[in-house]
Amino acid sequence: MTTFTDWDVIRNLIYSLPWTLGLSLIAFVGGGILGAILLLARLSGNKYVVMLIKGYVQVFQGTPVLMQLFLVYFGIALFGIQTSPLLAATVCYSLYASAFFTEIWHGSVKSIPRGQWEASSSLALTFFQQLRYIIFPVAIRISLPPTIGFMVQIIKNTSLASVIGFVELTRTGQMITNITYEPFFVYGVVSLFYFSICFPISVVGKKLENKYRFIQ
Amino acid sequence: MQDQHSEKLVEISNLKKSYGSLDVLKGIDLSINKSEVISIIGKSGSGKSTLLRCINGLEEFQSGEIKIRGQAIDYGNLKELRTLRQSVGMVFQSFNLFPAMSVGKNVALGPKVVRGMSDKQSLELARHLLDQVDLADKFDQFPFELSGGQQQRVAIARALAMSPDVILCDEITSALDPELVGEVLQVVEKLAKDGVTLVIVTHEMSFAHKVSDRVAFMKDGYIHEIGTSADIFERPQSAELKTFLSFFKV
Repeated sequence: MTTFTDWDVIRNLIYSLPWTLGLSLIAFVGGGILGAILLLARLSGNKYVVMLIKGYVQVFQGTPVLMQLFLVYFGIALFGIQTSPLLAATVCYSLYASAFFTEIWHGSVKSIPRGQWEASSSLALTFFQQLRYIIFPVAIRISLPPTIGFMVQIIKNTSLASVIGFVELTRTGQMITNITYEPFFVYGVVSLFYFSICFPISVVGKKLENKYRFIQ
Repeated sequence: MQDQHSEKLVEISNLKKSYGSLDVLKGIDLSINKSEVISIIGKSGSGKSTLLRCINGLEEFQSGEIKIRGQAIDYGNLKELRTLRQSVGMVFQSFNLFPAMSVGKNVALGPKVVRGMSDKQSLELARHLLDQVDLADKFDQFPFELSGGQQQRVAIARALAMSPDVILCDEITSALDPELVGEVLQVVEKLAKDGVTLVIVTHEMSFAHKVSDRVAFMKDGYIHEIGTSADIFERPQSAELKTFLSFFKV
């Protein structure tokens, strides 16, 4: 029978860490790009596009990530495409993150006083010049705390990808527990790993919030 | 004094604006001549600010015509509207400086982005204009570091940076503490002396009396009475204007 020392547990969890970080990064980047595209489309003001995006956001905000993972994982297979847990998790987390990012950023843009739009209009700036020089620099500062807060949520939510067989930190913890029968210790270490990733990000978010609180 | 203002910069004919069933402007006719200072006075809700916002295209109006230098403006055409806004500057009650930019960059933005100046040229112009409003030392500071009066002077410099034909001032001292009003009015008075064309919506009657070539009294969406500053403040004709002025010590 294989015996696991404490170091073996920690070592194996460290090996799985890149998968958690990688999936989180994919969600940030994929969700960020898609979220930005959705934001621009929403700001265009076309009422059908706006309605469509609102519906999209509602679907992803109104259903559990776990269900979204199942639907994407089994849904892709319905189209005859060979689905890997990585592909399903990539698609699911990118869509999920984009819905939240676009909502956070849209709220930030909308929170900018009308006077800023009017002042920049009165200087004869075009719509995109207004966004680039006036609206986005402030909206980005406003959206930093909720964006970073949501990034922390994503990191924690990647643990759900274990249910479709994606081997990341939580899934590795489950497998080690099945061998060692020491769930408290193993999940304790797993939690510590999540905390050591998320806590510094939260601290950075708080610092940025304080730094930009006057420029809003 | 009127002779030197013979060139008509802005001509407004039968301008009507309503919000739903509420008629705010009921047929405004007004000409603004070059280098002229016109103050618009009247009770809150009489349509003063709405008139300025219509001229600048910030509000759509239902009917009427506005000509700039004899050219009728199609306010539905964005390109034409932007051209108009290059020649009609606006200063707002609540300053509306851009909070993420330094004071210098606030002033330099229009010349750089709209007029196509280089960074160096636009920043030099900004420094020069800030010097004119006695704020050259605030060039690198951010709006939140300035007092209300200083922010409003920056807003005036920002409007001047576009070299507009006319500047619309919409109650520019209303949001200021009383002790800060004077510094802003001094700047406006200096502009008037320098021959800048100004349309000023104000509740500062003594200032309007002192600085204006003409004064328009608005009531219920009409220009009720218009004349020289002396006509309006010293020889008011209508009972409504007399009543309005009785609330102020001019």
